[in-house]
Amino acid sequence: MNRRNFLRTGGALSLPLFAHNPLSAHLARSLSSLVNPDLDRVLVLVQLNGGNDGLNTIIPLDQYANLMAVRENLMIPENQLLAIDHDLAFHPSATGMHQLYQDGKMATVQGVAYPDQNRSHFRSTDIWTSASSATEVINTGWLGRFYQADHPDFPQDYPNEDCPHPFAIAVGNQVSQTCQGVGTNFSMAVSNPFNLLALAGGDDTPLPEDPYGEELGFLRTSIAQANAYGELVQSFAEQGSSLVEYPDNRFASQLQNVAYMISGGLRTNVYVVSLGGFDTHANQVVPGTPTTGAHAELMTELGDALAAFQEDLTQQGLEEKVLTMTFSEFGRRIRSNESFGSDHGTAAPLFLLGSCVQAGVLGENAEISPDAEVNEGVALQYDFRDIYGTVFEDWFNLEPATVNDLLGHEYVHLPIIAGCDSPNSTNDGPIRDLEVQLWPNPTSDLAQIRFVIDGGLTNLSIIDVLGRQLQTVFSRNLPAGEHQFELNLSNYSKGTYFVRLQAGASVASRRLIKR
Amino acid sequence: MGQTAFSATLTDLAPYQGEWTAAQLTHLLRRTGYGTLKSEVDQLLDMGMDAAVDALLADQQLPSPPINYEFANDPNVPIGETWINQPLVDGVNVNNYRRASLRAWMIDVIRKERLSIRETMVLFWTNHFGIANVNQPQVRYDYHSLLQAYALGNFRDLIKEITINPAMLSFLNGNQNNVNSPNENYSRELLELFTIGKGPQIGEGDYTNYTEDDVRALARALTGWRTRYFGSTDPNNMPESFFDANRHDTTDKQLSYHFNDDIISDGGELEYQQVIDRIFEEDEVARFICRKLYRHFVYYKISDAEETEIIEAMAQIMIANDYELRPVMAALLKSEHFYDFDNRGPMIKNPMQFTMGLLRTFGYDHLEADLRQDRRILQAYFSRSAGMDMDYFNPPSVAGWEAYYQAPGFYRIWINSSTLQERSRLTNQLTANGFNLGGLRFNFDWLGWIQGIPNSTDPNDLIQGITSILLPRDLTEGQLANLKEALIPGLPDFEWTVEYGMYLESPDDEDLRAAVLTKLLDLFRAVFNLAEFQLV
Repeated sequence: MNRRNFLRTGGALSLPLFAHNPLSAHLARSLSSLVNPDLDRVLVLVQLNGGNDGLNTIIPLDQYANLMAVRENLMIPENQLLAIDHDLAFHPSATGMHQLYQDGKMATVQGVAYPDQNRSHFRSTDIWTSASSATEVINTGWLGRFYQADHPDFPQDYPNEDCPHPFAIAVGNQVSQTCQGVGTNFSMAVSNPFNLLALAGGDDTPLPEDPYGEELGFLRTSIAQANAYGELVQSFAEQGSSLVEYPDNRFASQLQNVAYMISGGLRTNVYVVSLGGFDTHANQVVPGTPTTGAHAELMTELGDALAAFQEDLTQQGLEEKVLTMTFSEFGRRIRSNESFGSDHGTAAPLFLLGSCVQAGVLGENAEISPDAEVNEGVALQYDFRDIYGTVFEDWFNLEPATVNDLLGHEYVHLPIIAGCDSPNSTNDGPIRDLEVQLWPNPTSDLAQIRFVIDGGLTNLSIIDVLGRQLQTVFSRNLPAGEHQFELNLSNYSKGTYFVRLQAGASVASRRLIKR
Repeated sequence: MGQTAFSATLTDLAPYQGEWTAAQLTHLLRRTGYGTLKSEVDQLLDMGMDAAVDALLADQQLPSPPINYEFANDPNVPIGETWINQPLVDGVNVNNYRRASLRAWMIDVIRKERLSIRETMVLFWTNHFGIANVNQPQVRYDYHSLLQAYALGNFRDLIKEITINPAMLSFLNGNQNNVNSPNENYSRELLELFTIGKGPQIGEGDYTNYTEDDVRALARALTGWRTRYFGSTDPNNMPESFFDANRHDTTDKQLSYHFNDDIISDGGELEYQQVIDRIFEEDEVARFICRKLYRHFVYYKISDAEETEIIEAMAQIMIANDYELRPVMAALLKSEHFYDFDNRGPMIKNPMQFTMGLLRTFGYDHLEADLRQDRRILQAYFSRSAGMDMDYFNPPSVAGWEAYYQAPGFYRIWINSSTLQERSRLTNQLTANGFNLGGLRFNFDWLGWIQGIPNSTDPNDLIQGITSILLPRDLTEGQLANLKEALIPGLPDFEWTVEYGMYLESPDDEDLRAAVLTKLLDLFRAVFNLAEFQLV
């Protein structure tokens, strides 16, 4: 191997090497090909930057009175909400989302977050994009590791005969952290697929063995790749079509461009689009007219564009190829603030869209107390890594063991994808009511919990209002039937806690007050 | 990112003793300013390093304020006058022209800056505080001119000013922080991003340098500050911050063991100064800001050895000088480490370095554009930088641009297939027809510019001269040969000498001029397209 090639692969573009990566041992074992090359499924990720206020996106009507007690200045009159089943209703501006739900093209997962919630935008975004736990720092993205395992030498010698198309496309000027590999990012940033320019790269001279050589190597490879993929992306976009009218805004045009690229035949598996502005600390609603304001505009922009995109896919016969999924770094607090806004919180709903989703609502409506604490967030029900894991398994057909390796987490398969020849979507047991009873509540030190399960791995934990996991009471296999356990809060100060019970895909979260 | 441990010279910031040639000087100029002007090189080369660095760090007169250059409907501001102290107008949107004026002015200040690090420091601070989406241009102007005034001043004093600056109070909700409903947004970023930095989490709510309780305590200490007169149309009531004692928390604020369990007692209107003074008693503040300075001026990777030898030395200088910036920057820019060959060239240009480097290096001084045309061209540069993902007045987050903090990519984050194309679009346009504004064509005086290069009638000397100004390191013989192929494809050297010589003899001959210019633009385009051109 000559010096130049060595630097290209070993120096310029790599890498916090495997040895430094907590997930490396798993990856090293799973270097055989993960993905069936003929798989033509597409995942469209919709990143909602800033932390979406789930409680004002899809409102639990059974909690409406209590919500009025704690966030009255944000609340929309009940008769203007767009009701669905499960005692839930969409924001009146989210007509697009409401329509998708009514058409059976939306799966809503309630209370999605992770244990030990971090309320920093940057850190929590890193957690969501890397699929790390809250207590470890991982510099690779959850999708980046997926590609890395099959393509350890990327970008050296890519594109090639076997992989002629970009793996992932981030629509905009920035690559997506979800696609960060150990050394390079697997996504190509495309702000406009119809206007891609061929770049000259300069010469291919030997690279000096120093930082300058490293950066120069990175630049040359970036230029070469931009050219190789650019020509291709544009030609496929030009062959594509879009059959419906989209709203006239940046977010919608991102999705429309994705529709062009997919329908044109580009074999890219992942597209990432984004919509910002969800960090609504102030003026989330216009004082006095809560149906208007920043969040209402976002709901319109998000819902209308997603509805147009789905309709476009349907009309072009592509809907069974494409799964769309939203994510946001956190939800917002239950109590609103005095600035007609809401502050960084914990869990929020996550939406999966398309004709291959298990339409409906997974999870319970959040329990809102009129005494909610100032810092209290919506309680965690589902770990986002369980959703990622299910997408890997059901949508990209990965083996469960491989998925655990990629995520560095034993995920629980969730019933969110159905039909469209998803092999695993029928394996789930039913979601059941765990019939949780919790008493005395309030309590001084001890409380009893009783519940009913179908049997299997069961977790019980105590979480505080900030989302910190204080105690794992147990995590083990339990037989089917009724169980009772004692909870000990004697080490905790007075206040509000959440007791979270997970048995397979069934979850319950209950407020427990210590006084 | 790379695991290779390159070892730049580590000498505890020992002064640079080596030769002082154009190579070292242009490195200094590229890192402290935008591009390289021949006039600056000529001026500083004979001075020697010490005097050159001192010159760049010297106090400069602050620029005169932005003016209305085209909007005829602002009753308070005639064309040619400044708007910074004039109110908004009922029924007339004056913010749009002012915003455009502010952008063009900011670019103009950089364009006209000579022999100074100041505007690069202003960018450093703009990135450091990450304030975005300030809707009223005069509020943004006030904030921007604060950064200019303190660019090389006292870090502690700057933080004090920032803490009660209307733009910041509004941006991080400090103006809503009150005794009944403390808002932690500012106090959190004050600790996490602006002063001491967030270390590894070592306990529940404990980030090595401070705790969640400290965030809450400082938020309470900073209660009471508000803003008013945003959007005012009354000349006597212009946007400002003020202290409202009724909203201030007068109780004691208990700090954690990281701050020696100190208590901040009620200080009323001046309590914010107690807060800043207390934070700055921690030496970690110096280390934190020095790391950021290093990343901005030297390189993004900081090895363990660099941390202990360079960053620590910088921090100690800063502490010894009561948080004055100038002594630290002087020591860094005069150090052996700064001029180490390993540190020459591995910085990927940020979009401002890319666009302003071109603008300052080549300029439009030869054009007789009127004010309005001139400002439009400057606005175009502003927009091009924004298109490359650096909207100067709108950093993507309070943490600034990812390229300065996001591991593992850092500077590389500027580069992707989309931004590379934006960069090429600009250089391709400049080496074709330039900007066309209302029928008037704006382009650099390429032919005039190369007359500053010694012996430019010899194609080898011409290429050598151009590349040594525009690129951080020497090219290989093969690359130089390829560039010559762009200039005089398949022709012997003397053909350039002859054709260019004929043009010099008859500069008014349009045919000669066009023929030579076409070839010269081919050369410049080839230089700009080199991957090396992305580096400083």
